[in-house]
Amino acid sequence: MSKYSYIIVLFLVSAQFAAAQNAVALFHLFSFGEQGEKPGDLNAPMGIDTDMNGNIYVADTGNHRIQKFDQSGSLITFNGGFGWGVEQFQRPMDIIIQSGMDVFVADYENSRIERYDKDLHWIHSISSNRREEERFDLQYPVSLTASLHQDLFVIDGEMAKVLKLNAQFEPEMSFGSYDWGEGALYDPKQCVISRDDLIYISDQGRQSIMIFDYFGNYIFEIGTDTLNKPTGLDLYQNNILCVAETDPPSFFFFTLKGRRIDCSRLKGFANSFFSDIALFENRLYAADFNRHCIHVFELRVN
Amino acid sequence: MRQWILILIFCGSGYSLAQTVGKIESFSLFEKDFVIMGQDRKGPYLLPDSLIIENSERVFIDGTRLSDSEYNLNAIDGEIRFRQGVPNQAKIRIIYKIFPYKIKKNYYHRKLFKRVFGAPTGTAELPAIEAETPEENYASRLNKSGSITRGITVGNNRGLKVNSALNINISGEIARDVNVTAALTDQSTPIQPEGTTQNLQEIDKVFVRIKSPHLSATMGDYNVELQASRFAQYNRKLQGAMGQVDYGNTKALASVAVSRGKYRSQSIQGREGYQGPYQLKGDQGQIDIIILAGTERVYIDGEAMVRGESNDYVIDYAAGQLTFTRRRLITSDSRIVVDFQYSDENFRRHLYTFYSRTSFWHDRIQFGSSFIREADDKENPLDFVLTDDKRRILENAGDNPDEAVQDGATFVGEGNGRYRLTEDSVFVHVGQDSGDYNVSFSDVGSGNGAYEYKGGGVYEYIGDHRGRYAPVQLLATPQNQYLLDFDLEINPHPAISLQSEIALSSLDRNIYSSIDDNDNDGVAQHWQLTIQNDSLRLLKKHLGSIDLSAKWRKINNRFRDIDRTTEIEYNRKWDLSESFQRQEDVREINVKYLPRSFMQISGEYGNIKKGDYFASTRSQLSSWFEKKGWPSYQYRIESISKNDDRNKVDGEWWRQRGNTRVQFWHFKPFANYEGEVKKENWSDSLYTGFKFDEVDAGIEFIPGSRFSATAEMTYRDDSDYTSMDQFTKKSTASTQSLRMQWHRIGSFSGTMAFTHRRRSYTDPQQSSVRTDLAEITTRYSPWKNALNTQLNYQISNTATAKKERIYIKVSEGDGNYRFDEDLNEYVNDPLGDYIMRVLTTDQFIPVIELKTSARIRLEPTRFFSRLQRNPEQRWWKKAIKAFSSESFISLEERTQDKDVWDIYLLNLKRFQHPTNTIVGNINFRQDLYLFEHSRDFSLRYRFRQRDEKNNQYLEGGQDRSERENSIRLISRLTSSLNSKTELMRERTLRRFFYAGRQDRDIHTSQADVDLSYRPDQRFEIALQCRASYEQDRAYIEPTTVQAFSIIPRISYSLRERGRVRGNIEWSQVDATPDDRPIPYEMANGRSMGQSLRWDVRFDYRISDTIQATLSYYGRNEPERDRVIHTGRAQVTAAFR
Repeated sequence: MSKYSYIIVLFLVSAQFAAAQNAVALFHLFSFGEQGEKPGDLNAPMGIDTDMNGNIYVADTGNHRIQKFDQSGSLITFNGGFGWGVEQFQRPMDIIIQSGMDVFVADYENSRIERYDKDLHWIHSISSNRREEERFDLQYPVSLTASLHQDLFVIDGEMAKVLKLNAQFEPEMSFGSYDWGEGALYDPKQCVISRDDLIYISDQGRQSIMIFDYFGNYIFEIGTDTLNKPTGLDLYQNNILCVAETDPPSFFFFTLKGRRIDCSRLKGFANSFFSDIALFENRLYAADFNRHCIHVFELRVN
Repeated sequence: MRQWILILIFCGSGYSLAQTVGKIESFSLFEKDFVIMGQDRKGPYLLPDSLIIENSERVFIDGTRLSDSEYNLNAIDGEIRFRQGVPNQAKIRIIYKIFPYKIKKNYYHRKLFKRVFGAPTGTAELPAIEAETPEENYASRLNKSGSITRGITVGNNRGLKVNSALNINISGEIARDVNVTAALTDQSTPIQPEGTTQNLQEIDKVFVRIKSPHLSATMGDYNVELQASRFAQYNRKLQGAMGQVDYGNTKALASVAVSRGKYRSQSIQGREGYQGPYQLKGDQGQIDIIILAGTERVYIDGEAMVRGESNDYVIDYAAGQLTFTRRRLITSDSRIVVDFQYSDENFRRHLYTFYSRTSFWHDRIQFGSSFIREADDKENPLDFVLTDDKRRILENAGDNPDEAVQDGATFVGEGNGRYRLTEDSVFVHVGQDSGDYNVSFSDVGSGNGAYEYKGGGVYEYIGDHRGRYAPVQLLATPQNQYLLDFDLEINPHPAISLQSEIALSSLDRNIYSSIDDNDNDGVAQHWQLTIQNDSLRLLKKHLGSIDLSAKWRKINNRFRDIDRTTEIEYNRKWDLSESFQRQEDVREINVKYLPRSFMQISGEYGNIKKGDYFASTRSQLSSWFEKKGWPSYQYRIESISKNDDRNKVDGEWWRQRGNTRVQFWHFKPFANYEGEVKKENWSDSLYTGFKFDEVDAGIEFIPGSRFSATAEMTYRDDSDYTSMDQFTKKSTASTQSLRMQWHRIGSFSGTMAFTHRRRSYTDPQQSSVRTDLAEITTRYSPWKNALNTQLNYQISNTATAKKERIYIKVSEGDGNYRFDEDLNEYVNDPLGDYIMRVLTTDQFIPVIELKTSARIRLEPTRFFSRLQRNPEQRWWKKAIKAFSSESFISLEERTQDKDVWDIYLLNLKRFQHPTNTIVGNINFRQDLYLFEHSRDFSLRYRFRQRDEKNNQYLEGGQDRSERENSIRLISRLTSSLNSKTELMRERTLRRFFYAGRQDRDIHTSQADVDLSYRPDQRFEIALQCRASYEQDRAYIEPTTVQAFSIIPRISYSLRERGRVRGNIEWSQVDATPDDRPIPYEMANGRSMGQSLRWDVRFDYRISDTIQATLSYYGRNEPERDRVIHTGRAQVTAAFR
């Protein structure tokens, strides 16, 4: 091969690398919600998710309630309010929809997971029996995600661990605690599970994304050299990991193997704190804790 | 110029008009005039077109044109957003230009290629846009996911139990322009340890929707809503299948379903100083009903309420109880109407619905038809077995439910029953196997029975017509109801509309019986003429617009509504009595004149006749004016005069209502007035009626977007009509309210709302009633959230229902409680044979309720976050960053204390009073951390106290108090050795104020050490040791318990394939004196002696989609008569 061939190959590789570095673009479409307590208003939202119709579910943490919006940001329904009874919350930190029918809420100060139907009517509560194994205690749920197998994975802020609940909502396993060696979590914030059954956890203490297999085995971590305070994360078309970074506010994109694809630092969002994100088709929804709203971005992958 | 060129190029081409929510006023070839109503939000509001020509738009709100800076138009997607929220029902008008040809959003000169990230170079690129071919593989494009789980559980204390779970999600295009969305789940609902649960049958489990441009089908759980006609208004939550057609001018809907509910409307008069709960009842007055979630519509004074703790009301569906929040003051003048669907579970009910609407002659003629049928399946009663005796009773009962009853008492022989029959024919509970009757009681509605429920399955005689229970078994009568409705609308001219509707109904209240069937069928008709002139002109001068309408409605006495067909306060509108029959003949004329868009004058006149025994005439005048920069007002005066020949009473009722408001600078003062005079003169010189005047004045102060405040004061004077034209003063009420909001003033945000009301009565026998409602929410988070504080505070006047805990026996291993004979109480046990249910009675105790919580979180590391990666930080910064803390306190008090300010101002000495408090809880937690998020070394000190008083249960009151001091240390001893050590001192105090339960005063000292050795990420061996010394000082000679547990565990991981783990817990519990039962709270629930528990589990991933789990656990415990072995195997297959 002549030296010109090497130059051409090098040029092509460089060009491809450059293309990969700029492969994801975000465009701000609109934002909805404003600080307040009226229906549709938001107050320090911490969790967000979307269902298969593109409806948006928000854990309106400061107002101790959950809200459901359509794709344009119009309120569909809501439920909750401050308290510790049925249909009440104390700092709901995260919300997910499973199977298109069930909504689960991490009710932080009430030490429970609340299950609602898709119209946000209460079904039942899940809390731990503290006389059973201590490692299965559910003390302060911070985030949760649901697998295709109908298992729930819940981050518990008390011991910085992940608790796995089976389809009957019985605790089966915990992992990521102090005894998990190099897979020990420090300050986990959000989690998401891929279709390949890998669990991605944003850890602000480790300043990275920790990845575990379905059985809690630590696999690897990503973003150690780029992330500072990662929070929300979600998967785009099950092959790109989107991570919300809060310091400074930005979004990082990784392959599922951990290679960084792109980083979007957005103008005009300096005061934002993206507490959680959700993806539906080519839209990225970001819950903004500081500005009390939901930002809607269009995600373009070239 | 470019626009004109394009217009010329595309001139002559047609284009289609998209369906939108708003109304297209007019359009030319390239300009559209679109009107939509505001929805009390900023947007986005969707326009019917995308690709709008930029800067061509003109936007108006209620006739005022907005500048460019007041809105943001997304010309590409056709969305508009406003800088300020657009008030509800404000008219948004948008005039804009579009290209007169349908243009794609994107055009490509070249084919796009899409990179698949993570794939090897050279094979990563796939064409993103593929040419569509007739043989498109739609199936491959469907998003499919789900799983199926099958498992078995078997043990020597239980039979074989099969576990299964299924969930399926499908979405996407299945053919050209045909989309499917499907979700199916059968996820179980576990037994709630607290005894509350939603009815399992009411949970949505299936939803399938297939949609094409003209056809759609829905299967599973859905709502049917018919609103187009007057008599066939219909709203139901159903399970079944529904198809819809929307083709050109024709729309049709057909639904076949089984019932999930029965419609009922209930009117409730509010009570002074009582926010609820208000009990919803079935059609027989029964309270043991389950409200179908989301079917309720709640109105106060005709205004629709919004559900939610932070809105107007909350509802307990399982108990059927409605409570209004602090934001909606309820008084004795509040007229509450609740429409709801409830499940009585008497019979399976089938519902058939058909609806169609079509139009001809350019929509000038519209014709609609509806058919609705609701039929009980009489051969399939759900809650009783249909014996020949019961069938005979039902056949002879006719339409009278009072006849469909069976004797509830069964003679079982002396000493075999629970009740004894006295000479006065009264059943007296004498205890199990002490009487000679077993008796079933039924809820027959308050005041219709003679017995009262005392809890524990005991009913007590309290006198005829004084109780709500009777010793009978009510038999539900199956019903069959249908409605056939036709409506026709003719618009011969755009300004003229003629509407007519006729409906036939049939209701057989008892399908078993042919008695009373001659009154089943009825008919109703409605006629209406409307003339609308939007541009009234005289001598070329625009005089505004005018609407005229005339209505005539005639309803046969046998006609039966199948859903609500009248206004919410229809009886009030015409001064009708609840007891009147449905028959009516109504004539009405309405005139509405708008000389300009900012003012209106309108009038209404009508009369109603109910047979030849009742007639009422009503007239109303109203006017409003609303123009920016001017004071606005609304005023309405209404008069109703009635003549009731049946009751020999004439009546006259005057109502007035008005309000005005104005804005100057940052202030908005406002005033409202409402007054009514009602006189009813009876033939026997009896006078009934009332008079009231209510004046309300207030002011809003909004200096900017970050702060607002509203103060309001209301005064109301009530009098009774006591003799001819004479009123006697009854009461005065004054209400003051204050509301403030502040957003991000520094780091401080919050809201505050307070309402105080006092109603005083002239009758000295009647004491004044006070209502206080308050809500405060604040958040203060300075220093980059290093300090984060939150406070919630709420007070309300409400009531607490008495509750009863009942324990239901289930198969061994299926419950979560067991009965401990030594302790004589039910204790938690995951292998138990009892489940608990909490039943709410209708015994309400009025209370004031206070709920508050505060949280203070200090994390200095957030303040220095920018320096986190800087290794050369100053020592004091490093030291400060090492500390963090969290304090949390929550209080709940529901009390009958009269010194309310002591409660409001958190005088804790008045909390948890032995007799005043119904429910009281105080929780406090203080955590202090050193290196909170470190795994190398982390220390936590925790103080936690919980005090609880509960007088809510029928069985009696109880107190509980827990205080904990603990230190937890987590450290990494070597790279493979980690430890967690926890030292704890705790005191648990329990007092029971009823017989049969032993108090506890347990003092615990406990050490817990966990050592984990993980030489390799795959392998862990660990040992946990726990030792405790406990004393129950409730006895003079304390019970002393020493417990020691060793829990070794081991696990081995197969990366991405599986994991095997096992653990054994050996516990030794010694107690002195050794003949005394150990309370469940001691020794971590273990019994005296040696206990052994073991658990082995193996999870394995067979393939990418299939996972298997094998587990086995055993228990050898002194309280069990044998060793328990339980095994479980489960396989889950997922598809993606």
